Amino acid sequence: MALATTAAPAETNADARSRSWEQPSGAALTWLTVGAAFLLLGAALTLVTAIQLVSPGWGTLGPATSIGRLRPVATTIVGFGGLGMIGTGVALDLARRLGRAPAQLDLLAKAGGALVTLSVAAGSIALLMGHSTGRPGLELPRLFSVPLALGLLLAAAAFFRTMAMRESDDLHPALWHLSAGVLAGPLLLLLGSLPRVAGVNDEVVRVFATNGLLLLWLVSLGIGIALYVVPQAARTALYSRRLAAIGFWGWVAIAPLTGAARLVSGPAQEWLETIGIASMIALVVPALAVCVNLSKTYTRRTSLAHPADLRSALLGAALLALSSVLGAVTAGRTAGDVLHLTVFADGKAEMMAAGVAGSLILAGLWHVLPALSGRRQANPMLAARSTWWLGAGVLLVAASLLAAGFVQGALWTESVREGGTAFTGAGWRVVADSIRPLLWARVIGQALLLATAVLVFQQVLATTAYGEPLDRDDAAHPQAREG
Amino acid sequence: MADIPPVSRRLTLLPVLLGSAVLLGSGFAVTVALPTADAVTTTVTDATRAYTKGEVAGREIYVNQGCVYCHTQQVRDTFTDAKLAQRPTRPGDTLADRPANLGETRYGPDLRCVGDRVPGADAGADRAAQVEAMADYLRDPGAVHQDSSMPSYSYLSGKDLDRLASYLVGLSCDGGR
Repeated sequence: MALATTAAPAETNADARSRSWEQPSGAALTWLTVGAAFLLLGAALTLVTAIQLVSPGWGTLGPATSIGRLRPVATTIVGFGGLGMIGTGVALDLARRLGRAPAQLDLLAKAGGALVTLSVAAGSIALLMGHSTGRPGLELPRLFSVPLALGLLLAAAAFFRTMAMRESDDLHPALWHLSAGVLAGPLLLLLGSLPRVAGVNDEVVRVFATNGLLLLWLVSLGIGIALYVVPQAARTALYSRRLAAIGFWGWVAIAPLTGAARLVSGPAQEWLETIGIASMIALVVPALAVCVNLSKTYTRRTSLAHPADLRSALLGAALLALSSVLGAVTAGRTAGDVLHLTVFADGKAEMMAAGVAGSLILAGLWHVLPALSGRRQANPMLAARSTWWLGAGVLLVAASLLAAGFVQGALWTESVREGGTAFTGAGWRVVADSIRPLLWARVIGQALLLATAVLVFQQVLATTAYGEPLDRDDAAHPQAREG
Repeated sequence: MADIPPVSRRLTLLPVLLGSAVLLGSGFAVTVALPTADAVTTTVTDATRAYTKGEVAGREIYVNQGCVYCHTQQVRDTFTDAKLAQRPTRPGDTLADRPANLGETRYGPDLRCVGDRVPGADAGADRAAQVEAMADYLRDPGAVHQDSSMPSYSYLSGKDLDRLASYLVGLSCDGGR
């Protein structure tokens, strides 16, 4: 009966503990706010580079504003600064919520945020001045990429320390993906930045790291967020833990191998390309497991409302299914002969980055922002509408690039069949002229994405500065219950 | 948590972290460590480039101007690339290239053998004339190809334009490459 004698003080401690975990993490809000600012800046620069692609020299005042310098800056700012920082901020808060443990090492997480902010900002200036590694997706020189990875590791330390204080030993499926994502980001950045190899080997390292940063860092964070947000916003429990396990283990096992698919028909070893193709096809299984789990959870909803977080998570899930199926269908060598090295690859990358990772991570932002700021969402209707802008923008960007890639590939093939070459002189210009209208359509899609980023930033500022304060019940249950 | 699974189905932090690390490490071993350790990637071929000092300086400009975002430097083993060179690019061909500059998207033409397409190259024009022609093109692509989607690099100094042009002219596949 020892338990009975200690029941009273234990209850008191539990009460205190239950109150303490409700205190939001200051670091999470910092990561989120800075991330929203970076997202806005990155989206604006991406729009400029999209215009420069069809209108050469537009806005080019000198080398620093040329497309070749702005493009890596835009990618760095959107990826590491925007989506990366927002995703990490949301992960820090979800560790607290799902573990029902007070946020730990908040100061360290803030220091990590400062380091990431400085690295991205200073690294972007260096890129504008021409100090690039020349490796797409990993352009930041080590002087900036290593501190950036260190900043992410500091956030990871705070995340895992909070997890270590959790109430239950068992992990919610959302935390499986979040843990893997928080850990994979800095590791892949270091793995991609540190080796000094040349030629094809350099390309092999680069595609492994950049593909991993997209799928195992940003998309993993996004999937983790969705597995938490959808049940919460739909006010029901997650449909299946078994499907979640298939989704998680399948994703972390297969996604690291898929980078090799980007080397198809190139100078790398054929067996490596085969692994890449097979893994692209296999990736459909975990991707669909995640999507089915989320969609089944949604169909069991007990709430009829469709707030921004739920809409955004469902959009991301739908794009994940579409993206993985498209990746599988076009992974083979036959399709690759036509589509490889065309702008089709950019279309697929945009769908996965802006579409899947962007939608899922923004779902997390909409979900945690009120509790983190202690205020109600400034304009929930506008926030919910932003999902339409995001969806329309992503679909327009991806569809135009995918179509342009198909046109490119088809015209190249036709030209060679007729005995000419589509890769030089007049032959090349026919192809370039044919895809120009599609690249203009991409510009419109990019403008919609910029509009979404403007709205996200405005809502983050308006909510944190002027939102109506949450009352005690709201603070305890800002959007819904724990799953 | 509303429905805590039975102990046998619980997943704690350690298996998640260890499992993820092992799977990521396996992915690295299979798709990075194994292929890069393969001797075929480090064996010099008849087409491995030997850049001059000037060409290396030109390559630096190629890198810091971000040419790789629109141009590839790889001839694939495909039907459509068959006429770009006498044979596809092999791993050892790229040994001297750091960064690889292979590229992933062709918004502009492939440049693996661009040196062979410079005006006068087939007629045996001297290298200085080819470099000058290439520099002129980089300075104002629209003057050579109307409606060209290639931006002008007129903001580069004459010396830098010559270095970049020298690098591009040196990207020749003449002689079976």
